[in-house]
Amino acid sequence: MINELDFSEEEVEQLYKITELYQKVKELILFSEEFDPERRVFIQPINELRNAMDHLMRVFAYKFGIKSSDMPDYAMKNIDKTLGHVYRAGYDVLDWLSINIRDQITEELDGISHEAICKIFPEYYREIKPYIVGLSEEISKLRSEKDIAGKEVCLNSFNNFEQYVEHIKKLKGNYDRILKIKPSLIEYDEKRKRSQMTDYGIKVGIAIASLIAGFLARAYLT
Amino acid sequence: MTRGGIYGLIKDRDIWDTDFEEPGLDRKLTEKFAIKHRGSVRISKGLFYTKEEWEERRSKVLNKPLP
Repeated sequence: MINELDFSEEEVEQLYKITELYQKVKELILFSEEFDPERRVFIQPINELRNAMDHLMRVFAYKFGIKSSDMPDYAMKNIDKTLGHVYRAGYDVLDWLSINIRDQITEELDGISHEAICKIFPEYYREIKPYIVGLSEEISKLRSEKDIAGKEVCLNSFNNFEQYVEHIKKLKGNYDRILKIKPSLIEYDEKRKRSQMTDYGIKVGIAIASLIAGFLARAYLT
Repeated sequence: MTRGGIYGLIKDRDIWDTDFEEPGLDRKLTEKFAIKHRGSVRISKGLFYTKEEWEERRSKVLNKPLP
């Protein structure tokens, strides 16, 4: 029966885009659920996918003749809305990831001295931190520019979505770099503490020796 | 052909063109019905962010200074 459904070329093209995008969004959701520190799920993307499914079902209901409409482009309109909701799910999940990765970066570097980062991992202050700071602004820009309704849905949203994904991949790459270098940062701080303790011990030793010497000298002179 | 619900529970509108409500999740209610719920284990266990909880976490993380 599905072979008899009369989809136009344009409709099939959009349905193909939805399928491709859904695959990407699903991957992002699966990854985000694993990455979340508390293993929580985020309801917003799930809600967007529920709405996407609803619009897709309207298309099938119309095509199967279960539902009628006076609008000649009823199917296409609902296909576009489906795509819009899948994009929104994608944007929500990217937002979720960006916040979680940023938080994990802050957590991983918590307790590491400024000196250790400067000496062992200067790229953090030179590249990574300015990148993260600028990213929030960039993300807001991408989100506000996204047009997820209407005919232009694909081009604008696709470009911004892919740019956003690239940012998230870069952020995740930076997080991985931090995880890799963290043992060296801890080692540097431990060495520094040991050396500070030694310096402190020497200073205390000198002070005690001076006191004893002073005391002896005084005793000898009197 | 267009109609309300098949079971007659909704008669006043075309169910196809009616949008779902925004999900208002109640944490206590979710926990209460967890034992009967056969859907997502994480949601049953309360392991989810509502929109409001997420916004709160989002601004908390963004306001936390980077090292």
